[in-house]
Amino acid sequence: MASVGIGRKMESGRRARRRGVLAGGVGAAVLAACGPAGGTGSAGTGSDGSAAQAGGKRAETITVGLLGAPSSTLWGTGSGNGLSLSNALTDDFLTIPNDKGILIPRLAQQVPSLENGGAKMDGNRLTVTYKLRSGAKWQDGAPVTSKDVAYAFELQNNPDFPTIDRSLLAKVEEVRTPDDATAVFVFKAGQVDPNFAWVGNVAPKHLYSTVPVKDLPKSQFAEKPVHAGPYKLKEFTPNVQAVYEAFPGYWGGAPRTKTIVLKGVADSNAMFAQMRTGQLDVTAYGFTGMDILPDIEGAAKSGGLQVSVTPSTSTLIVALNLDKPQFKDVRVRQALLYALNRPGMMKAILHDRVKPLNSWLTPSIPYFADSPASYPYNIEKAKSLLAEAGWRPGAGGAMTKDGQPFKIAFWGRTEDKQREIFMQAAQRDWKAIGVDSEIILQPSTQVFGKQGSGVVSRRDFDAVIWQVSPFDANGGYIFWHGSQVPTPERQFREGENYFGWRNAKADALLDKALGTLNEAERKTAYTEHQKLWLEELPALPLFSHLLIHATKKGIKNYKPTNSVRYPTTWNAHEWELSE
Amino acid sequence: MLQTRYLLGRLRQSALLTVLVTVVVFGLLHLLPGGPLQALLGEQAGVDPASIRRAEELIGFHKPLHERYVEWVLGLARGDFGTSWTVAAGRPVGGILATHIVNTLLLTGISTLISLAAGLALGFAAAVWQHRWVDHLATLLAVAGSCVPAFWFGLMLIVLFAVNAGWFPAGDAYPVGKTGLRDRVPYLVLPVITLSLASIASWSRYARSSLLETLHQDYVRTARAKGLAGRRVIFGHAVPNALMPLITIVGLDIPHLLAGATVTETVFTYPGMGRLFLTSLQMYDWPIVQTIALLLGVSVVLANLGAEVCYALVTPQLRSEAA
Repeated sequence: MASVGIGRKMESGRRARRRGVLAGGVGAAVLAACGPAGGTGSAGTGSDGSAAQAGGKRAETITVGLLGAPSSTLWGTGSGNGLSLSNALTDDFLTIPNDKGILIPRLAQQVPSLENGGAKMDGNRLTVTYKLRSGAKWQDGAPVTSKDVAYAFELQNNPDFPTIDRSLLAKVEEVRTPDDATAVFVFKAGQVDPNFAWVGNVAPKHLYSTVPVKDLPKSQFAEKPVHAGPYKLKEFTPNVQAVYEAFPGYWGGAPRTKTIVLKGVADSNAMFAQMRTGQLDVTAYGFTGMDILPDIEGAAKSGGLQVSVTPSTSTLIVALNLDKPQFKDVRVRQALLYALNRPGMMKAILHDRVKPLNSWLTPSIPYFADSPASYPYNIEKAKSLLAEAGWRPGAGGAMTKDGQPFKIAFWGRTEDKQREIFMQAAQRDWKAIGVDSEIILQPSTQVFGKQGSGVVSRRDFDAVIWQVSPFDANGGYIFWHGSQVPTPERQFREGENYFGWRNAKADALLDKALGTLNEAERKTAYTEHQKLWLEELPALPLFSHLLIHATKKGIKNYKPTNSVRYPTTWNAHEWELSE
Repeated sequence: MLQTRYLLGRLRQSALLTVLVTVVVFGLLHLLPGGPLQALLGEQAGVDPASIRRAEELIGFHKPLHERYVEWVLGLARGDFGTSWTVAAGRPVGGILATHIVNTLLLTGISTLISLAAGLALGFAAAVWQHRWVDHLATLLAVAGSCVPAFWFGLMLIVLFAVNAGWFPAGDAYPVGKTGLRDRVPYLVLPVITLSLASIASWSRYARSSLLETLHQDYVRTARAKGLAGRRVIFGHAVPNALMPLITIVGLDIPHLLAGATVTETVFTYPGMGRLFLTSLQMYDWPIVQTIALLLGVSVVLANLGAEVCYALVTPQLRSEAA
């Protein structure tokens, strides 16, 4: 059976981030404390020992390390970074996001937009047209046609196909194929979506349609996927690695590197060690905590490595349950954020490499509105706000109101030690204003299990520390819209506004942002929404994660993306490694 | 006749134990609250509820627990261990295990042989030269080997001999595309040393105490009194008898050959059964977790049965007790 897969071409890096580091940060520190990476012996030479042995020569193999090997190599039938990276090697898409997160055309001649006429409003009905590139073919030689686009839509809508998010697909009424090179997505009347250009996909109808959809993950196409990308799967060893060889018939020309290897590595320390011994040429989302960054940068200074750090869409927030009595007053929520020494946390835990976040969006998202001066660390201000809200110091300085002490059941998951440190820091800071919090650590399932199986989804929590990308939830709609509060009547199955934030003005702004195709209007709506969100604080923002990429020196055209949702192998056919 | 009855009794016990193992392995996993899909989706936002329900149906989670158990056991009887959910979505568990078990047998097999040789040599030397410097050195090494955690020792080896000296790779089982034994050797050195350390330490202590006990037996004293050379007394009379209890201890360690060495395999990113088990747990791939746990449970049962059979064959007292 297939695991839950991806509905769109991108995939979350959730699992990669979830992975623990067996030996904690000790290993990285020890590795960094030792001298520069010595030359590896023949056994330790990277990339099969063949990589760029002779000076100035182009290496035949580039080895990419990632946390956890690809779980599958067939589009849509697995999950995780590995599959996403694999898909971008073997598959090709109509459009794909580049390193800036901007869609660029691949099998389509252009990214459909209102400006270029690829998208049109016909009355209140949106149509999105993809014109296919001539000369594009599947790796078995068959041409890519519009029927493959229509089939991909049909496939993703099939209940046996493990699509996670069908919110965009659900807005489409039909896909028309007036000719072999044209596919037209006709949206339902009145249904528009700012992400309309992402709606199209392709799948080889002449191959996949020969197998029942539910059997695809067990089919020959899982063993040897046939797609239209620059690389073909040569060898797949589950839980170990996947080896890809160049497809010379790729429409964009033969890839510059003959072989790409996606290799699973157990944790960040092992990743770092293998970078230093030369066994890896590139790491993709391998370093999950900022704590390792100084070590990597230290090693890079010693030579042999280059490091890039990019912002991500992921945030760390303290989610509050606004239906709990102690959080109903907005001044209390504001006091809790004023009381947090966020700059101190960033300095002590994250080496001062990130700044406190003051939005639910992150700088990597175009609609991000920066509010750098918001909620500076101010104990007195926090106490004053609590006093305004009616909370008075009782015995031992603990805040009480109507005879009730201020207590917070503060949830977190056991699997993430760094989050636990943030929780301890917050607990200490809140204690300073007389607010007691009890840290409750449970396995992820007990905290974040969907549809009422975890305390968050059944809204049985006061506060929870949460790493999440709210923008991924249909542009924030599922997270922040008042209609999306899960309720027992709906078995907690619909919506993910676990905060219980109900604000008519905010809802109207989100509706406007998601209901317009005018980019300027959307940006304005999102900006106003963020401003309102920051005043209301349904959650306390801590920071936005950074993505750390390390590569060998000599890698050319490696352009890591700014989000774990976008595969960093998007331009792998252009990569080359020379020494 | 009595021996046969005794063995049949042991076989029945083993069969019952095996059934119990399947119940425990299956029950423990499937009674976890939430289910694997809930666990897997974790903090991801925007998941279509209908997709979750459909995915649960596809993996059979809409059926009652007992039906799932029966289906699983019937599959096992057919040699079908199921298909992977997440580690290698849709692929047969048997095939995935096959690649990993080879790696593990190589690692644990070589480590066991080295540990045996080194542990016995060290232990016997310590016994023969009791209270001499050899004995003190062996004791020191044994204590150190027992105290040093495998993950720390492995990391130190990586730092010293992979990162700094560059003599060995820092992980993996073989270079890309080369799985021959010769290609694997450099990749095995550091994990084998890491894995062997604790075994050498414990087996050397067993060997020492076993040989010391034997050396104090009357027949050894008699052999010495007869004027046999010291070497002949030790190697001809004492060592063979001292090995007997060790065979049992080593035999009961055989299941670990299959289970792999989770910590060592993880530190060295070595694709064996231990790491596969850990990865499968992290990725909620229950078909793989179940199969490895079952394999381990059954191998323990079989190893015990083997030991019982050996006892029955060679020990007259057991025959009479069985009667």
